[in-house]
Amino acid sequence: MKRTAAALLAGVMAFSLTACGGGSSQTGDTQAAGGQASQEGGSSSDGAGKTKITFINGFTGGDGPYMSKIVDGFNQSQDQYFVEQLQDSDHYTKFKSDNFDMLIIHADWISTYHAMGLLREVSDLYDKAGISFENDFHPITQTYAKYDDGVFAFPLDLYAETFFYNKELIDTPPKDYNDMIALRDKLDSENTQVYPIGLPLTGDHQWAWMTALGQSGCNWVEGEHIKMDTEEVCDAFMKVHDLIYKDHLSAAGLGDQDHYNTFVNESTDNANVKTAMSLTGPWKYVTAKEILGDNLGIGTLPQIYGSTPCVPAGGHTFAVSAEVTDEAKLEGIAQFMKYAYQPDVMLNWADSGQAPIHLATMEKVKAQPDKYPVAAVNYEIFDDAMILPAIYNIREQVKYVNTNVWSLVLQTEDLTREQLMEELKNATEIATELSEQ
Amino acid sequence: MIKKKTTAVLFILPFILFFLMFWLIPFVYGLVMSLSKYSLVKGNQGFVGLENYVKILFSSSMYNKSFWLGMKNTVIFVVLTTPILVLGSLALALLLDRLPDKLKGIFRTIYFASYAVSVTAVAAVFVWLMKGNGGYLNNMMINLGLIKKAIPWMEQQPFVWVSLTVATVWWTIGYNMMLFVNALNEIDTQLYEASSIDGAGFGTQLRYIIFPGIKNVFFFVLMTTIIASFNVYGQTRLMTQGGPGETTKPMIMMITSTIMDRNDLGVGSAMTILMGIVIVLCSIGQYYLTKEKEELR
Repeated sequence: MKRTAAALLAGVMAFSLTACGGGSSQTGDTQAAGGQASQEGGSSSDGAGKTKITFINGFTGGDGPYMSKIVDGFNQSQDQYFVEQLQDSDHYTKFKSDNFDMLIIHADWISTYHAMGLLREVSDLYDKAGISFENDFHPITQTYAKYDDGVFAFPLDLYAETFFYNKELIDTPPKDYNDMIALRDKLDSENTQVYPIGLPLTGDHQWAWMTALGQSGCNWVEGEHIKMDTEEVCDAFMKVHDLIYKDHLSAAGLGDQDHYNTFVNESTDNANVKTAMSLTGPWKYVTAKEILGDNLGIGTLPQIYGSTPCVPAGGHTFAVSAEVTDEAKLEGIAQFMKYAYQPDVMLNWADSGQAPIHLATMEKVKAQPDKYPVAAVNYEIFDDAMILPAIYNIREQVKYVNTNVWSLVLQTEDLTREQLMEELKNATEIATELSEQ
Repeated sequence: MIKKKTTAVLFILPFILFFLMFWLIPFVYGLVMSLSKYSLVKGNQGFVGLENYVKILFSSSMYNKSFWLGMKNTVIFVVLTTPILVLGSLALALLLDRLPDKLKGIFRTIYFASYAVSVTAVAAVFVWLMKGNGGYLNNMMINLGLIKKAIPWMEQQPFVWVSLTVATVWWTIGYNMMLFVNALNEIDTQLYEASSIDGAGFGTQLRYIIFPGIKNVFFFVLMTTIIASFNVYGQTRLMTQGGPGETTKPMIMMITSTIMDRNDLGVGSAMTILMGIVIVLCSIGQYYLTKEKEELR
């Protein structure tokens, strides 16, 4: 009896250990699907002798299948290489902890990953793929993919803050602050609760303050850190405050995603705030179109805070891990880029609603504005696009502004410049410390 | 004799193994990391002694501000939720205890059911309920004429703390209630009958029969609730993302942010150790407090 119990116990333990191993074998399953991959030393190949390239990205939403289409297309076209893709919302952490060859990285992350030595310089891969970084992409890519020691990414797309408006409420889209005041009067915002715009506590709020600073012509970077404690930055944030509490162009107290929720709000009672326009990401186009139908308008961003044209933007890029040294893998990655950057292939990415930044593909997209309405509008504003500065730890550096400074500006009706400046100083101090890590 | 020992060892082995794998080794490793300059990306960059602890506790660095803000937010949460979760669940258990037997099971299930819901679902429901603009509660109150303007339950302090407290109490009160229900069931009913004959009312029964009868469970519930509240993460992460500003960012979120966003495993581990020390001190303090009362009694 005791022996049976002991054997049973040992069995349970062995099973539990096996279960742990099984739990982490997601790649193994994918390997099986891709054709029995094996790993030996630095190089790896699948059962059919193909060189395997592991690729991780965060496209877990609607754009995921379009990236898969490109990857699958490449795999089908190949008898030498096989790209094994993993789509995971936590893909940055997985990239840092696991051994992936290639990843999708946001434009504003490249500077940090580059500084940490996580990315490989890819000029040689450009040459092998027959692509020119200087000539085949929109010039803005040079601000985030190129560094003193070379090129570190293959730009995929750019997404800019997009101006949506409701044609039922707006005849002519506002072009500046005065137009918005006129719109407020026309909408009778305080009585109807329909405001020209909504500024949310969270949800594209980084773009909201970047718009204010950019359009006001502020310089908010000093060396390797952001510098917020200046009079011009303080002025720009006070303009945001005035927009809400002095001119009532936005309702106060809006919460998470309310810049968009209030725009597509279908409620007819007076309890909820509604807005006539929304500054948000192009990815909101599909749902907005579903709700507003033909009443949805897309336009050029109004100059709300000043005369300097500026549209906050972000972008996706392909990058290669610094760990990849295997020549066969590098050749495979070059072949993948050669395949992906054919305009007809890259159009798959435009189908996802994104705006490819590859010039030849851009021409094809521009030729079909009805099929790619958001990309077509985005292309008009690429020249004014502003991506977070390419400095180390930039995403962390702006966090304090995103949380503390922004909430102070949005929620303090009787905000003083002194109060604001104190928080701007804190933001600068933290950013400086982060830049020195 | 040897066989007996082997069997005993085999029985103990799983515990020892899991204790080592999932407690002792990670704990010691965490302690070592807290004494090192340890980056998530660059790995261990060497032993730095107590530098991380000094940075957190005494310097003017961002980690010092993060730590004390996280601690303050956590203590606020503990103070707001613990009394309701302990006394409220006791009140519910007492109510349940007085219900007819047929209804007891139904209400016990209703109150306990919320505990089975995942924090993700709880957060989604409460965001929908309490959202300032377009939230169910505000819409209802405006339409009933109770308020004229939406209350920013999820957007502005002190309302956000109210929302988090309500959500947490709704989610977890059933568990504590079940513990009290079981404790109340253990009390001999003859004591109630005898005291009633002697003219004791509910207050007297609570003081002289009920509380002494459930005392051990009461202090257990109190201690586990304080520890659970110190470890708050899911509700704040999912309902408020630590906002507005960083006013609802508890200690665990600060630690996660230090490790995952700022890549600093060394400082993050030191924060974890410090937080553990605070919880242990709270538990010890509470133990001596109750022990003293017992001796006085």
